[in-house]
Amino acid sequence: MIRRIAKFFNIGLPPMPTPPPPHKLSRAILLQIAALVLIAMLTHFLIALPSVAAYALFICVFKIILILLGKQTPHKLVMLLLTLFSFALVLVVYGGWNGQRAGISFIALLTSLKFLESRALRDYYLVCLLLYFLAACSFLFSASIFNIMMVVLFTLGVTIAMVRITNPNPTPLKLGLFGASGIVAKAIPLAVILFLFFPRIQGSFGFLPSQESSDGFELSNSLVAGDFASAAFNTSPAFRVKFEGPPPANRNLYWRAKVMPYESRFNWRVAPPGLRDMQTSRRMHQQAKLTRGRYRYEILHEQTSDIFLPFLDYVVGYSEGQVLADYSVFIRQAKNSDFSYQGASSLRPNLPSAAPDMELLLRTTLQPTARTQSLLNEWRRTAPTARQRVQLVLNHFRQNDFRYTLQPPGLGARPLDEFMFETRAGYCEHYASAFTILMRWLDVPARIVTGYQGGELNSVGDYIQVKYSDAHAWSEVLIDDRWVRVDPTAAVSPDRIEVGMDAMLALWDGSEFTSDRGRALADFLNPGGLKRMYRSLGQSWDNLGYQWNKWIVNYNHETQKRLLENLGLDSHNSVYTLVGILFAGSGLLILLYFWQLVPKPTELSDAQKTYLKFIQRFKRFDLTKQRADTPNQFADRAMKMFPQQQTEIERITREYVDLRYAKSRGSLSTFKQLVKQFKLGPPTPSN
Amino acid sequence: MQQLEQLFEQLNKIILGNAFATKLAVVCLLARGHLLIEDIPGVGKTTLSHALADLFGLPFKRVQFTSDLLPTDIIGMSIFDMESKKFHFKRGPVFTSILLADEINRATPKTQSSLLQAMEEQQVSVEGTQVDLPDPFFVIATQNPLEQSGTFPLPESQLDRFLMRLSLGYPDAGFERQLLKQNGALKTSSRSAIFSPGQVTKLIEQVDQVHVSDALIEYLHQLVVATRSSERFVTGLSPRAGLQWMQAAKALAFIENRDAVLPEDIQCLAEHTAAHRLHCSDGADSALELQRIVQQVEVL
Repeated sequence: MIRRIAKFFNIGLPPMPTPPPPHKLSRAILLQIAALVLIAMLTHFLIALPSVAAYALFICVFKIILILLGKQTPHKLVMLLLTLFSFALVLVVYGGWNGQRAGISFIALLTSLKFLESRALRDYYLVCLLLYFLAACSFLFSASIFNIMMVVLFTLGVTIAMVRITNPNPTPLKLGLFGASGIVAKAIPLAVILFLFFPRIQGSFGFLPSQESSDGFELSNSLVAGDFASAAFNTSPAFRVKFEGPPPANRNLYWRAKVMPYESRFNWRVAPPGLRDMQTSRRMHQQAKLTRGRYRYEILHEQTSDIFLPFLDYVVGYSEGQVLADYSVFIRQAKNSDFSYQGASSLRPNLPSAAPDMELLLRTTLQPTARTQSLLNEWRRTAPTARQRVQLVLNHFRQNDFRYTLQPPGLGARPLDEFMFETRAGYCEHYASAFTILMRWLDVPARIVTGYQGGELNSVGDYIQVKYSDAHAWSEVLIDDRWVRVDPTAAVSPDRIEVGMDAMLALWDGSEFTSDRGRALADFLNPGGLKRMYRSLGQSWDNLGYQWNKWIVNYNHETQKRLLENLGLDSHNSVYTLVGILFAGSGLLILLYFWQLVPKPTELSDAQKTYLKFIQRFKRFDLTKQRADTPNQFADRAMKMFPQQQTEIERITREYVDLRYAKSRGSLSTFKQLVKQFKLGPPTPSN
Repeated sequence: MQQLEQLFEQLNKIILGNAFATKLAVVCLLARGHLLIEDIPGVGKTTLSHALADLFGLPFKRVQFTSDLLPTDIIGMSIFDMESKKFHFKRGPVFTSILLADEINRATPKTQSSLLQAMEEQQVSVEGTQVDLPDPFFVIATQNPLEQSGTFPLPESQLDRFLMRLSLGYPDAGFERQLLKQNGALKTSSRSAIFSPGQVTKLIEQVDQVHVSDALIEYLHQLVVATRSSERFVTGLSPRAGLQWMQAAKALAFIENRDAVLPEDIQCLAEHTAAHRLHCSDGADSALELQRIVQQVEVL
């Protein structure tokens, strides 16, 4: 078809390449492909159910044995059975093809089956292409720098295999590596351009089955005593914050996520959407500005299904979501990958609470037992004001042998009573819950706030990393129409707030805090040589991940739009512009390809141009030079037509032929001069 | 130069009315090539070879190729000498300067190829050792296009080794009458050598001195490439064909007393140096298609 079109336009296409004769692959290359498939199937264990991955591995090992035995493929019937079984396996294990894991497992199984039945060159090509695809699939599960590095290495391996397959002569691994590195290196600029300019999809991939939720810890919308303690040892990062100026002191790093005013038997809940004070919320939303407040920062949050975003207390500006009357900020739809947002905060709430629901803030489902009641009566008597009552309860915690522990004992049917008089040991949530309930019983409106406290300053990247272990719960009491933060944990264990959770974890020896607390704390704050090196190494690694997430993973529709705006491209329909550019670019490339096929006149020398001028003179007498006419032959014809000018024609032709064909004879200037002086008279009719 | 003129004068007295063919034969010799004459018997193939040998003063041998001819019949063989009780290599007819291989297509491929190695490398293998052939070494092979039964047509790879293929054809009526009138009188008279063997070598070396400009190389290259992209040819010209074409053009320019090759030389030799190496896929005459290509490639 193309040939016919090309012929119509008189374009000389190069002759069709004849397919090279097929060659046999050496065992070394087959084993290399086998190794690649093996790696792919082993990593498949990370995402798939073990039974499926093991089956894929089994098929792969089966093929390796066949290769080692010098055989090619098993019998067709065996292939059929293996294939049917893999269909059945996916159906039984995943209940169909829906969902990412099922789909990818199915592709992995088919890849290993294809590998098993491969015998010809093209089969192995196909296996390599499938391996590329599987490598790309891993990005659905992780976009970490480590994963990318692994995928690049794997891709290089597959490319080496392709190079070695293609070459009919046995290629040593080293040569294949050189070839493949060249190919991969050439692909990098294109990858960068596509990464920067290919239209980012706004929102989530609609066509992809939804991702199963991450198995990490998340702040729940309710608080049950003992929940947080389970996350105390989960040191994976929750989010990272970069402040524009110096960050506030550790004791002021309260990251508010949720506010829980609803109590039911020692458990707390956030306000359901219908019961939120949306009027105040809207007013605060309108006033919110990123330029307000004392602290400005950018948060890069790990993937979470939570719709409440942590902000430094108290938020006055944000780039994402909507603030509620209780200073928590929520988004309408959870993000399905890492995301970033900006925030601005001041350390004090700037608004008096607007008409709080007193009934709700004083309501308790738990009733005080007799000994609690007596304690309450005593407190009521000694402290008439709300402020004094807060101090009294905190003093009670401080003075009565209450312990802070990462392994709180379980509580029974009368949780508060048991906590106050028997166990006297708890995690932040126990103290916050107990304190808030006691406050309500003492007629002080109070509520629970959950979020994170503290964070580790990464001095390499100059940002604060907040981990899930930093999850924290504290109380807020309403005094003189203003909400005041009270953290009872700080009363029991000041180190938790002043130094941070990392210190607590360092002091924890498995069942309780180390006895020599002072020295251990000093050790933590001023670590020795090896420890310090280890820590700074860890910080460097974390910083690498942070920068990676910030610049690469988090490069999304908005950042792309910003980049394009900076480049002066229309922001409104940037996607269309980009698609247009891409199409135009590829169209141009195709045109360029055909342009190269069009036979082009070779660059003419000065002598040739002058000679063409000379020939041109004869044109009006209908004497044209045929393509194959040599200068002498043309001169013969010309001289026949113009006998009077025989000498000039002869002279010019001789000069030109000498210039073109003789060895250092003839002069260009003379020739030009001759042509310039040449005047063609009327032709003499030949006899 | 005078000697060359003398040569052509003499040659054209012997081969009447075929000045172009005789010129090409001399070009072929001076370009260190070999000549394939394809013609019917009796038009003067042998006479031409004889005349060339005589006038250049070079030793001449003739081998009549038949189907039972063996490689040893050409190269020679070792014969046991009863007296000295040793093997003596008896040189075959190939050890000469001008060899006429008459009706080469009647010999078996094995015999043909033994000659072709000699043509290509200018040496023969004798019992494992390489023996050089005299310099110059010029083969004139003839084949009869009419006799097809019992022949072994030369394969393309072997045709490629001949610099030129030409046919002598019948002489003009006038010349033929003159030939009949002479009754072969010139056959023996005035056939003394014009050149000494040393002079011949010198001539050949002088051919190498002829200048080939870049412009000409470009033109020749375009022609060769055009044969390759032509859809009518099975394959295009080989690089060897291009080299030989250029060498022949240099020899032609030398004979014409020029110090540089002109496009005319290339055009003039196109049919005789290239057509026998090309095959039309539809069995048509490759010379015609070649002509068409030459007409299309621009000379400037």
